[in-house]
Amino acid sequence: MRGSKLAFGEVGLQALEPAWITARQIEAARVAATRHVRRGGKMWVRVFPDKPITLKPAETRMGKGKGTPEYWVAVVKPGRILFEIGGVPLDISKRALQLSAAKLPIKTRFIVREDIGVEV
Amino acid sequence: MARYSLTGKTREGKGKGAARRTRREGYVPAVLYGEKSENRLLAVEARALTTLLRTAGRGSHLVDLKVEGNPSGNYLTLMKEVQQHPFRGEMLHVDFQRVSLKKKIHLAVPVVLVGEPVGVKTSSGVLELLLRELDIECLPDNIPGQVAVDVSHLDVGQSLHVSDLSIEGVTILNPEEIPVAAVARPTVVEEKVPSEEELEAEAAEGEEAAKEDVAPPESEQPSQSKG
Repeated sequence: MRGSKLAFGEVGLQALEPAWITARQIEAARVAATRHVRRGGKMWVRVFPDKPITLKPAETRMGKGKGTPEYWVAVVKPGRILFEIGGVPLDISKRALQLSAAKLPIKTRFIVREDIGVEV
Repeated sequence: MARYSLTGKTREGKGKGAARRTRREGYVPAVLYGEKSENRLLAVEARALTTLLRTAGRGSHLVDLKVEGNPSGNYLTLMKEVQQHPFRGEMLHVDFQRVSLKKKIHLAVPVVLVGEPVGVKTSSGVLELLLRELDIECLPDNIPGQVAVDVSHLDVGQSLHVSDLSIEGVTILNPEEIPVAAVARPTVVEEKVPSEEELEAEAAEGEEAAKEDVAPPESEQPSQSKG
């Protein structure tokens, strides 16, 4: 499945359930992680909210045309990598992604690249 | 490159139904192709395949594939692709490509960075591995298990390109200008400290809001719907 493997960082957050994740949720998760990491490292957001969601105003009768676009979502399927972090110690990146996961409406899992590709 | 051995059996039936039955029996559907021979549908033991991948690591591997009931002996193959379930990690399908020891083959090998760059030590830069696999062409006997790249001399803002790599007996197929690794500047999140004026303004807003909550003006009260 496209986007189900780590492509940039050493660790990532993988979705285990399907969901529409809103732009606000993605941004909240991103901010939570970057605030924890603070200095150094790099973060990649692997989902983009490109689907507009329309809503009809409250207490309106049916008809009279389609509602107005209210917010944007990213369609996420199980297995999708949502965020990746690279260049920070494992304990910090794990905690950062745990904080991110708390901002999301789905179950997620923390994954580490099997072969990190760096020998020091 | 080390060679691994694996045993497979001929698989009958195509499609998802047959493939699922094969998986339920503890086998992984596989296909054998290449060297101008007919494609063969195979099944390999899931447990043996998992063990092989655990010991061999990622990348392409040379495998001596023994097929039950094959009169011509073992096939020398390259494990070309392994399909896995997106999050359960189960093996779904494997591709084996027959290879000849006399013919050059194309494959991808993992890149491994060696050493701690100067930019990471002194300026707390971030080492980025930009190209994780290198596309190469070589004879099966010359396949490197991995490509080790020394990055200890890289400073912040510097990068290493494909043109800086050379491996004996191997032709690199990636374009020369592609970067392999780079040391980037660290990102810093600046926490904004509000000035005294801003704090006063916020406090004043808060007081006004509190007053509004206590007694909302009549004009702002929600009107009742008439169904």
